[in-house]
Amino acid sequence: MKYFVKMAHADFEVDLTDLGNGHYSLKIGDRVIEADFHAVDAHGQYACLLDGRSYAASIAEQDSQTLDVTIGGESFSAHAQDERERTAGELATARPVAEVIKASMPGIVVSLTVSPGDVLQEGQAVGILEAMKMQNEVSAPHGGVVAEVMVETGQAVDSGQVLIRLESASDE
Amino acid sequence: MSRPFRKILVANRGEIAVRILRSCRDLGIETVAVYSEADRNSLHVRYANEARLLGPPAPSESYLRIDRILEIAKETGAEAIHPGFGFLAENAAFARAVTEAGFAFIGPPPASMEVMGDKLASRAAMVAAGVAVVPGTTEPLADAAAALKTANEVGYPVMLKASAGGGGKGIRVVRSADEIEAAFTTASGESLSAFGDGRMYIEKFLERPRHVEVQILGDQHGKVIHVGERECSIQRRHQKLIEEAPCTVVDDATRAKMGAMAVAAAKAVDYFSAGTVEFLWSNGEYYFLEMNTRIQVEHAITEEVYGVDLIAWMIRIAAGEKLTLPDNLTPRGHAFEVRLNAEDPDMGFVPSLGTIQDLRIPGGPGVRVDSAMYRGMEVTPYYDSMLAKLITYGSDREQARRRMLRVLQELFVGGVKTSASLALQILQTPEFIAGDYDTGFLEAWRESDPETSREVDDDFEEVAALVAAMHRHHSAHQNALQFAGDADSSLSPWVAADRFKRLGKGVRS
Repeated sequence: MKYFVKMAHADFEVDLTDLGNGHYSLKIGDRVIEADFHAVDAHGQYACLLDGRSYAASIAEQDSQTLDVTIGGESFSAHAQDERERTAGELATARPVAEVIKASMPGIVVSLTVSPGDVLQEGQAVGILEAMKMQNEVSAPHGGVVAEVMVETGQAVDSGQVLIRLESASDE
Repeated sequence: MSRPFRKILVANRGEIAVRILRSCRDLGIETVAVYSEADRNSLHVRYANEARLLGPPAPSESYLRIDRILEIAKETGAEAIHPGFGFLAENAAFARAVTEAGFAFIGPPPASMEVMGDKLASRAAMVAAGVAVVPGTTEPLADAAAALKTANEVGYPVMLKASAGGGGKGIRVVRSADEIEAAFTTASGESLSAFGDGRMYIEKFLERPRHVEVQILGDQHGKVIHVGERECSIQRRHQKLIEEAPCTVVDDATRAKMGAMAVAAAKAVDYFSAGTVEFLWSNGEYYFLEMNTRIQVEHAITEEVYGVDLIAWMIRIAAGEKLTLPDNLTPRGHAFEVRLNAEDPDMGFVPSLGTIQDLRIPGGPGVRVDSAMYRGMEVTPYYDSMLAKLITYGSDREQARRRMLRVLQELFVGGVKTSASLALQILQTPEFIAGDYDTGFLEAWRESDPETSREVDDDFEEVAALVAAMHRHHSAHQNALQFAGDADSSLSPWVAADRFKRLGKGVRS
């Protein structure tokens, strides 16, 4: 089974053979690594031996493919897909992106200064988010016309949540 | 040992509330926690003997509600109120309201808070008490000629600062007399056009300043002592990230002098309780910056090297007890503190919210963790991002530093991003190892986009990639079998102990 793992500095192609009982043979480039990999609990803690070197690894899933991996106090963001997902992913990215303005961080909506019908310039401030005493301005990633404001002042939002929907380019 | 109070209300949340509750427990004092709707499950609520709801999550509707806090204190029969830090801790009106309602305020007198809370008033009080302040003017300069005259008195380099300045606008460093006039004109003009206010001040420019602060402790009978200094120069946007005690550039003689100055500063405003006198240190000179009239986040490193419980002393002092510590305390060994914040260093330190799904707290020799974290905790956007303080102690600086490296590697917080990995990098820079850093270090170091230097040769990124692949494979196979793990935190040991006691099997000392 092949896995494609995107990291911050490099992409890895891992050819994994499951030998049973937590034993794996991992082919990466022209190297073969013998792995012994056991879940310690159901919360993403693993006891991992790679060619006999021991690593305590912890994984928090952002979604099924996007993982925060912590090893020895260092955190890494990994995007791991199997072959099927990779093919599906390639098809998906070929589609145009949705015309929306998203929250850049989780927090409370302090203000939103636009209404449906407003014409936005790229970079224009549309509102303010606040979390832990920090305020961040939300700005339009590109120009457009506001179709719908999806959140209310005072509402708590997650990072990446859609705040404002823009009329799609094809409506113009 | 007599109890200073029978029952104390802690008007705070998070790590500091837990810290205060712990000292209360040590002293055999009953405790009342207060909480907002967002904090019902918090550790401070579970660690206290009693807990009362303040109101909705917003601080203005909960932890800042003086009326509600006093009401709860009355209802529960508390005798004293500890404000912690942040929220109402430096609010003189609150301190006054507490005393007027008949409770003891566990902190300094309101009048001292008022003087030290005002930049000009505190500066004037310090000058009168003979405490060194950063040389410069407190009144706006009339014109460029006045600026030249003052600069010549203060000595170069000087800093011209616009009274309304901010964001680097209206500030000029001037290194010689012939630059003054031009600098005054442009900086004043810049400030006038940016802020509508062209008034200028002058201050001695300190090269490579370090933030060094002195802990003081005073009782209500006129005794004030200093409990040594802390070095807090590792800062980002004026937020401290790593602190240590003692400071590497302060020797015994300097400590004695700085300590005496801090004691004089406290005495000048009739201070009692715990407090911190902050100094800017530059090339062996140091100047009063401000006084924080509360217990500080980083108090624990002082506790480690001096072997005192500062919170317990605050409580005893508030009850009128005499400070029995000697006034020539000496530090023993070295301590570091890393503030663990819920934020994402890779995303420009934006807050990282979410649920702590997994938690591994470090241990072993020389390790102290003051934390409010628990598995299942929701990190909400309403309050400060600090989750915990990691503290290490060693017989010397290098041992304490290496222990902190170990602590940061042992720690695991799953579900939210923390500042731990950044701290791990800073602790391994040559500057930090040598103790040779100033308040500008962190920003400069981050801008230099450093390659992380590590002692371990392993390519952790590759390891992480392999682990990610195996995790995906493992999860796919486990999916059918997956059952909800028991994420429930068990009863707090204190609550359990209380239950035990109520059954008549425990004995109260």
